[in-house]
Amino acid sequence: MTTPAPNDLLARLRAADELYAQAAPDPALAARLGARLRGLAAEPPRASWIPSFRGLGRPLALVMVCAAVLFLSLDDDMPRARTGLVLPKQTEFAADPDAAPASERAPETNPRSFDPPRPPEPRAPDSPPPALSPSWRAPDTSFPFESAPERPSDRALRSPKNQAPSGPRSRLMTPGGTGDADDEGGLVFWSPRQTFPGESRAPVHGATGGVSGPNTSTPKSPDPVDPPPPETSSCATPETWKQCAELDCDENGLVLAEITYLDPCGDGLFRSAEYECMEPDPEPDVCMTDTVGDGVTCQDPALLKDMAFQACQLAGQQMVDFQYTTGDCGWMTRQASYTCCPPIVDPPPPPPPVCQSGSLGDGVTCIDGSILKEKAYAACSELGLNLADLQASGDCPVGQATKVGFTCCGP
Amino acid sequence: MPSPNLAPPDVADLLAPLARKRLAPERPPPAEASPSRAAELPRTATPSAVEALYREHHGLVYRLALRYGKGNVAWAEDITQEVFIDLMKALSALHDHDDLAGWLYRATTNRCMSRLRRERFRSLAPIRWLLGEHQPEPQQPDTLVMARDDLRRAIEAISALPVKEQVAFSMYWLDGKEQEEIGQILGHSKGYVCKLIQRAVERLKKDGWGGFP
Repeated sequence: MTTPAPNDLLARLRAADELYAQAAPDPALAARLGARLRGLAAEPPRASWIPSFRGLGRPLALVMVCAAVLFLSLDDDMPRARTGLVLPKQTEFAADPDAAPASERAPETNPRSFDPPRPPEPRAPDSPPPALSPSWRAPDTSFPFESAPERPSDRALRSPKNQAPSGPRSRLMTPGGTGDADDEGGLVFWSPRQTFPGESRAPVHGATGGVSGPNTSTPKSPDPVDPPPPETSSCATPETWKQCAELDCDENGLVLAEITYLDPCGDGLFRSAEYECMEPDPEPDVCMTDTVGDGVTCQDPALLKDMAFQACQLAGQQMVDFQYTTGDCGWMTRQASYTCCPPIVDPPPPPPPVCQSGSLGDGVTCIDGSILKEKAYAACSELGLNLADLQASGDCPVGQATKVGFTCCGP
Repeated sequence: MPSPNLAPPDVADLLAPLARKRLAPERPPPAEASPSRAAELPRTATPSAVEALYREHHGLVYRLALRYGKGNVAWAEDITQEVFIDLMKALSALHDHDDLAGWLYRATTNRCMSRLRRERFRSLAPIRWLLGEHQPEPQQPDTLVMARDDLRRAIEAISALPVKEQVAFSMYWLDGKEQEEIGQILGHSKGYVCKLIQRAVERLKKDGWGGFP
């Protein structure tokens, strides 16, 4: 009998199999199996599709937690679901550090809540008042920041595409109350409904202050315009908000730079908008034509040309044309016309190529590497570049190569 | 007229090495079906009939279960019991010409593979945490061959393989099954089975094991 090699796996596994084949199961197993078989035969057939939930507690809990987090993170887009989470009259800018204290603000005529005010539902006279939610409490008006601070993600979720820039921006806000403004931020709150003819214009509190920046102006209260009436008392289409914002900017000789629609309320409607006005672009640079000379006195055309040249220089332009007529002044002229145009700036020439590559050798003949290297150096020098890389290839003795790839780069 | 042989003369060497291994004398011959047993199959799946089949065939099932359970007696008894319960459910569907030993082999192998895969999955740390389970228990004390150090090392080496490779390797090298038959039992193609066996051999060779022709 031969002893298997110490690393002969198959021999050992077969030896183990032989041991297993000699082993017999516990006689109690036959008894247990018989009992189970008889029990199986006695019990009615069970639907095999009924799942067993044993041991699934933690996975189910994990799935439910994920679903809850997802729901809470998406509920900002669902106004009805949000109602229960936001205090009534919650101030959206309560956590805004730029917001003025309550004592300096105008009376809170605009509830500035996320949801439009709904008329009280009719109740029977003797019916008890509606029970408040346990989480609800009346807002404390003495506390200037009576609301939960806004989460950073809230604004991002409300306007994922249009993030409000950091500059001073004006805000159009609903829901149809009187206007409100922030003294420091130059914020204007009004509803498109306020622009309806016959409706009162909201006073703009503090709308003239707090403006900074070269191209930004705080909009004043807009004149009455006739935008299409919004579909609901608090929601308006983006076009309505944009018209209002453009009118407001136009009032101040500005143009609408950017507008962000906030607080979506379904069907592409929004409850408020934040916009920014800016000064219109300066006049585009165009050529300018003018005259020099009083039209009476005969003057040296060279002198007039100098004057025209200086006039163009003062305008930051260059003279491109100068014409005059001699008339009865002999070689002189009474008046000359000139044209100044913006200076023409030639685009910078394209940068020269930084690196160039090449190869030497026929790929067959083994050549001494130093020779190929010298050739590569020479090739780079001809291009005014330096040899940056050299790759030899080919099945040759040491120090030789059939082909050399090289790269020349600029200094 | 015979068709010209377009294959290169060394085509046999280019073929998969397992094709030659199949002819190796070290590999046991495939188990032959015993046609005499076909007539012995009871037509009704009664507990007593299954118990009779258990008395006759438990050796095959128990041996396979011990192999895949690394000699763990309790593990093997669980598998054996489950296989014969499966047999009771499937007995009425088995025809007379079916080879019961082959059915038991397939059922045992698949049961063992499923259980091994389930155990490996549940031994992953995140799954253990998710299911609220603690560290896996150490090796059961009632093992048969763990006392022999050489056998223990061999069994641990093959147990370290991925489950599919372990089962395919064992079926091919220890039971002498053909790759096609292994593929039918495991539900894979012959090519995939060949790949599984080759991978297993490569891993074992990398670990220093030999004995493969």
